[in-house]
Amino acid sequence: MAPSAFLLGDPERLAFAGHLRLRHDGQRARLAVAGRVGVGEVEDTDARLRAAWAAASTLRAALRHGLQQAAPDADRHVLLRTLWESLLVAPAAAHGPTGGAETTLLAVVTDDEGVGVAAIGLCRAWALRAAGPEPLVEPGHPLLCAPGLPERTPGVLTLDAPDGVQAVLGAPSHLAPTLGPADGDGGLSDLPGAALARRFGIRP
Amino acid sequence: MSRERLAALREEVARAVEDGHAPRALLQQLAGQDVMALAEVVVGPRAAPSPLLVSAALEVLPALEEAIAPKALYQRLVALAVETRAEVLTAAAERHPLADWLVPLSRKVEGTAAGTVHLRAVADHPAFERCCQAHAEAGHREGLVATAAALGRPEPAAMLALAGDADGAAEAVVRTLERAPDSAVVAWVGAAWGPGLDPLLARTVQHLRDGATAAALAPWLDGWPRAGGLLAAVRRAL
Repeated sequence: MAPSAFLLGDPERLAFAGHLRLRHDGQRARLAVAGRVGVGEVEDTDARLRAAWAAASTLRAALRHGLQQAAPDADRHVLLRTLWESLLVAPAAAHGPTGGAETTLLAVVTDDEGVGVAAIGLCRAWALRAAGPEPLVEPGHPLLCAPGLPERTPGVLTLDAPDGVQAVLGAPSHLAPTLGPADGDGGLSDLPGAALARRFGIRP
Repeated sequence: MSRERLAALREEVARAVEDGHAPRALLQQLAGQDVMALAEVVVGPRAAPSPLLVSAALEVLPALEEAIAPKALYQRLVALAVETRAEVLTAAAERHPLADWLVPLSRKVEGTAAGTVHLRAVADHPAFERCCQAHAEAGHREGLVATAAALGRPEPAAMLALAGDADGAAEAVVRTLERAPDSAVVAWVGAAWGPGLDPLLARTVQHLRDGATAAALAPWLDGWPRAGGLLAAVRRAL
């Protein structure tokens, strides 16, 4: 089973405004994407959720369309490149009122040769195994970078030991102040499975 | 107040309700003079279990709350007479809209429709969403769905989703759109549930009752293959 990708929600009831997910299953490679389009400061909740929904829906459709144009036998490198290209050519509506400045994207791509992880806008990343989440990279690793449309193609982290990785978890960078010290576990390792799933919007 | 005087007051109240009169004047008088005696007569262990007495008590609630904690007061008033339970709950919700104890009290009074009275009372309060969450976590689906239908507000559906009640949320989405076709309730539910929304949205389709609501739902299901496919199939039959 190819690992999934999940993003941490905000610490509030309506935690997943502007979040999106999609999967693309090619003949050779499978791609899981989790994203978030920020809409800036919008005081009215209804207006904020409408704007976030519209942007996330447009971005999801644009990424899906782009990936459908990839060759069916594309390998994981091609799929990732296609994803980033699709992000950059997505319509303006896909980037929300901030023009993409708050966009976060986490991609996990798998083929027979291995598992790669690439992202924009993450402050933390974990590999989720049966025993729970474990940090994927140290603070300062290039996988952890500012949100927003990338000026160059983001680098790819190839997992050394992908066996047993059920998912890659990421925290959007605006949540850094809520996660404690950068070299800590973000408070996730003590969470029971159900609470962890809820924080990442993982539903049955 | 002496024990004898209290006993005489209780007898006077008992006689009034036996004669079919609400002892309003007596309770008003006690409210101005001795709130402890008022509480003893109205909700004490030997209080007359009568809807007439409870109705009169609802007119002196501020004085009763001086003598006894609201949670215990309203629980006791609810227990005293079945006929006036709804009035007591309404008064409690209006006077203490954010109290945690309203959730179990609602359950006791409204049964499976718990939350309807409370949420109506707090509809214009900033804590409406938080109250919806409390009822959703208590499993009060029917009350939340009824509230969504009555008010056309997105919070009941969103909080049912947050509590993990996918089918309740789906039904509340549809009832909300029936009342308010322009509502962004699906966006609210998505923000509460998370982005893996297709299975929940697919469940909304089974709750549709008319073509107008299906038309209101349709734009929100664009890009959701399972839910959108189901809706396309069902719309032809509506």
